[in-house]
Amino acid sequence: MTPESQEFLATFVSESYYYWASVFMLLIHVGFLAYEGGASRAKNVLATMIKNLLTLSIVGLTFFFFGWWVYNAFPLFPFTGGVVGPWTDASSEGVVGEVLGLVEASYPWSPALGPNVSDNLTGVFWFAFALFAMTTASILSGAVIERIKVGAYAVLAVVLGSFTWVVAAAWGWNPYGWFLTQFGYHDFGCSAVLHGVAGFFALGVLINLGPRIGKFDTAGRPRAILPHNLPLTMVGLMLIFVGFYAFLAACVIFVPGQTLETTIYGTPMTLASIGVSTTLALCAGIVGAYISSKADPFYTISGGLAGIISVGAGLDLYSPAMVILIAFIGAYTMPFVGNAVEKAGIDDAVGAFAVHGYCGVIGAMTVGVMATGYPQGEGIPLTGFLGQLIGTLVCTILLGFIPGYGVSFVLKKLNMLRVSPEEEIGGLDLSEYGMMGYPEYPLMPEASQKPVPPAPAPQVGVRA
Amino acid sequence: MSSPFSTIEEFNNAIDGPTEGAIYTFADKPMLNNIALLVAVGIFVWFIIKTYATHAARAEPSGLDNSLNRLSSVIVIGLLSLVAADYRQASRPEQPAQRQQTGVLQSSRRAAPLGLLGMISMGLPPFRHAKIRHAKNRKGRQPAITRKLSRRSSRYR
Repeated sequence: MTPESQEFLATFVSESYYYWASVFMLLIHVGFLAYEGGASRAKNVLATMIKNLLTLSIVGLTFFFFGWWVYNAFPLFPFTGGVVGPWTDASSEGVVGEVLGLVEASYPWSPALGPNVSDNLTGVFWFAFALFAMTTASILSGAVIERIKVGAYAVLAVVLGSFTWVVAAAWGWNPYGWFLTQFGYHDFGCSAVLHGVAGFFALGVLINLGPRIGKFDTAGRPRAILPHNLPLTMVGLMLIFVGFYAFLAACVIFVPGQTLETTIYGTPMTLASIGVSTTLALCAGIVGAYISSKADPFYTISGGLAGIISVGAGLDLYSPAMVILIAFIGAYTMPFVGNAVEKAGIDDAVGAFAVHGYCGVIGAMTVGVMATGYPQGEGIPLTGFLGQLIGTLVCTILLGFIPGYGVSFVLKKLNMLRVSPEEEIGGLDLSEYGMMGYPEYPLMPEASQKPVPPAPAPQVGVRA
Repeated sequence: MSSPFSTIEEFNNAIDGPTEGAIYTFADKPMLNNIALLVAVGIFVWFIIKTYATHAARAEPSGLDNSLNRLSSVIVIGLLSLVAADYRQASRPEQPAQRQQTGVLQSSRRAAPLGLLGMISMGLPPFRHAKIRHAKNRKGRQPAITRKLSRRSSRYR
């Protein structure tokens, strides 16, 4: 084998690795689609699933238009430099010059994103990040089912999936990000950077969106709105688990020239340990949620995800035994948070805040307690509680809750956030798409308990 | 500090360092990871017990629950007692030859109270619950008419 072919082989290994990891990441979306579809009522199943499907398009396109640039342009802003873009001096040197090289490859008109035999890797990293972005927006999708307008969801998905979480990633999941360089922040599996941002963003939206009709009685006590298909929900979460293995594998950095696998922060790690630790976290999370929720099926299956997110930030650092304990504690406490949110009058249909927001915070902060003192480079502070706290607060409050609350507040004031009560009671499948998810079967409305006749077959080209 | 490394060079060259390539938390203090492992085993035993107490069965604790509680306590206490032995083994190679015997004695003395603490914190609650359940069971062995009367009197309190 010639040196040229050996060099190309290394490139091909990296390219293939991220390509297939990203393909398997798509299973997270298959899972979310099934999970949320199953969690909705039968009258909303189509609308819920199509909203989830649209997430791919909404975030995929906007991430191409500006999201990828945001990731590469924002790491230095505002502490160690400005936002890097076409206005930046092309002859810049040092860190700005290095960042500028990446920024120039991230414009939507960049030659690096098209077929280009001189750059096999920029496109495949874009692919992986686009899937990350879609996953983030999908977390919001589940929380707001059965009452949000599709347009409002689209706006919120763009803000979350292609901007706020991307800024969080630029600051906290980037070798040039100021979370790392100034405070030694470490978040290997994006516990706060992705899950924390999305969970708190969803919480802000839910406050303005309000609960589904019938979720709370006149005294404000929560009532159960049961999933119409719990088995589908469970299969969905199993698919999410599969996708999570790929997601975490894609967090490993291996590019030609490296002599060992590293994290995005440049610290050594192994892919094998991700397999061990993710599996243990999944198992311990299910056990924790099973015990604390007293075998509630919905919380139990969510416990696996809660366990993985609870250890995500330090997955590359924890010993296997520590992974079990941390995942157990995160998942054990998760149902209490879910119930507290419900008692506060917030209708989080799939427990997105408890699983992603709360466990994201647990995950990021646990590094500051259980994985302290790790060096991450010359002149970079060691991992510690303060660095994790600052990063977590910025992610959850500044980039999560405030944008979610603010944008949804504006949409609410413009009457663009929520469907009308009539549409909500009749079901979004009929109002949005003019058909039902289960046309052969009569559905029982909550009020009358009398069967609703199946909708007439839709005529092609004629839609009300 | 949970990190076994103090500089990035040590971290990057972990394969040549004292941990022989292990980069995980407390790799230089194996006893802590072993304690965590034993606690994890204890959690698993707790989980197995809980699978017998799901919604349908929770209302009336059975004799099987009590037996499992006792069995799990014995297992957890037994596992915790291994901590001292494990620590003794882990500390032995690092001691100088002439002080090895002293080191062993000291470490076992240090680990013994830890093992006892573990027994108290993890072993006793199931026994205490078992005791409460035992008391309930004794109440449960009262004649049916006595039980009925005592229930009725408590309702009107």
